Amino acid sequence: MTQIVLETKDLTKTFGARKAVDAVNITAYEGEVFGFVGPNGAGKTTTLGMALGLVRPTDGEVCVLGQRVTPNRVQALRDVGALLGAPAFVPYLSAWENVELVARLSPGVNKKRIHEVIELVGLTESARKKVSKFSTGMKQRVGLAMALVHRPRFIILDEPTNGLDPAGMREIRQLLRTLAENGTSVLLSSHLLNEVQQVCDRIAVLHRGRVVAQGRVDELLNRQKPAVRLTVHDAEAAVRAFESLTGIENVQASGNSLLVLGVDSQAVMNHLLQHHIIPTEITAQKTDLESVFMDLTSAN
Amino acid sequence: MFLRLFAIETRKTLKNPGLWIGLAGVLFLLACATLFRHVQILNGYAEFSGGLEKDLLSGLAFFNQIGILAYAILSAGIAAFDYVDRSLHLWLTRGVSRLTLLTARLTAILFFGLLLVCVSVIAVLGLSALSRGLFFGGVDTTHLNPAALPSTVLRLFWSSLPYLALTVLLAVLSRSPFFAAGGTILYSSVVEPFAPALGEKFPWLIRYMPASLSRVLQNGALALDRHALPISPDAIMPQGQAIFVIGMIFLLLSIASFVIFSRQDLGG
Repeated sequence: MTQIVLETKDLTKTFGARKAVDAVNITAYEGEVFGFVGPNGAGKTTTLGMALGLVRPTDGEVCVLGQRVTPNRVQALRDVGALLGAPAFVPYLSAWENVELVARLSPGVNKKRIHEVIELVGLTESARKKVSKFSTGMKQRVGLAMALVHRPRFIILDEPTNGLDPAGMREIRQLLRTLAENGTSVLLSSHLLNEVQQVCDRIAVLHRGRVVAQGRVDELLNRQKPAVRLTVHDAEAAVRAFESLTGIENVQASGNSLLVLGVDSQAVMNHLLQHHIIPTEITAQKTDLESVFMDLTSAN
Repeated sequence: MFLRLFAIETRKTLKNPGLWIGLAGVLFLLACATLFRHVQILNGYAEFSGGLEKDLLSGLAFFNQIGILAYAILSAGIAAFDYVDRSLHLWLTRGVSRLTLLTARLTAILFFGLLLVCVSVIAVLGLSALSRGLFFGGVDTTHLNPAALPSTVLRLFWSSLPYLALTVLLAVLSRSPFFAAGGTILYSSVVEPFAPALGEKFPWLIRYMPASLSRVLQNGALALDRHALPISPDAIMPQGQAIFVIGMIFLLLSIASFVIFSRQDLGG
């Protein structure tokens, strides 16, 4: 049976009168890349802060690797690596010294492993430079190296590709997939929906402190209703024709362009031909996580 | 885990350029004070007698004045900068207990505080010997009792405990090195000098002030008055009691820091 690496039960955090996290229930399984998405201020970092024992929950509980974080924080987080928000490091030390300092917390982490992890995140050439002189992307790589150095079973990464160039982002995405394939469970919190769609197996969508959807990425994408964008010579005639099409939910017109929601392109084409209307252009709207996300967050 | 964290804190502090700049600053001020005293002797404004022991007394009296500044900056650097650069997250997200972390940090502060006192005593002796050799052609060590030096160092160090603990408490409360160091410096340079004015109305206030307790502690070995007090050191309390009260102040302030730190939200 697949082990649960992170489980929250009605996790709630209140700051004064404001509920930052409201009865959040999420479950992440061993060996998967779990995405945690939501707009800024949705409560993602606060939820992760509670999972990492940095923030005290107002209500509910959070279990990491089978242990309740409160009160077993020390045991629960022993095999966890984390990069929360902007990477934390000692600014006057070099990348190597920072990783070495963190490695001292775990017995058995030797210089070979430090070298390995520095190479893994692509910092070999800058390893001896002071971190304070690094660019945001390079600092992010140091943070990743520090999160990975003790070979954790579960890593929690909050916006790990922040500040990286497209090539760097791709490298990190590949790294996360490789880690998951090698048995490390990953929780990736990001607002880059394209990145989450490419990397994650399952996701939870957080909006205004509440989980509005959770499940496999492909299931969530399939849940999205089809949409077709087309251009016609007589938009008014086309709109009238669609009134008799079964399954149609909405037609949005903008000049000669129409967006038809709820039916696929084949049904749209057949129906228009029956009414002797020939579109000059027709494309099935690609279902992506962004449209799913927009639907979910606007509905809530 | 405690020893690992203590080693990490020590390594971090030793690698911090701020420590060496601060130490160089303290040594520079001590050198200036020694030279100033010897120039005074040369010009007949100060007594020549007393030799190296007198220089030590004078140098340490000066250190007792500037020491608070050094202690405050040192402890604020160790206890509060982690909030600013968020390196606190590095340890806490790895399952380090907050109690162990703060204990290791406090131990590192005590270790470097003691080191600062030791270095200052050695520096005063070295600088005085060098300066006396240059100005007066020789060093008079007749009155210097080397056996009393460890006790002098420990008295100075013990007197610093309330200030170290106060800075740690302010660091945890404010999460800012500037407020932490500034608060302690403000207390020692504004509150303590003005408190004796209230001495007649609130004698207990004077008795338990760290400056008064420090004075009691120094009374047996060296006269290192920080501020003039309206009552004599003997009238404040016996030395044993002063040692105990200083220990209790340190303990209470440290417990307050632990309680606040253990309940603190450190998100983002």
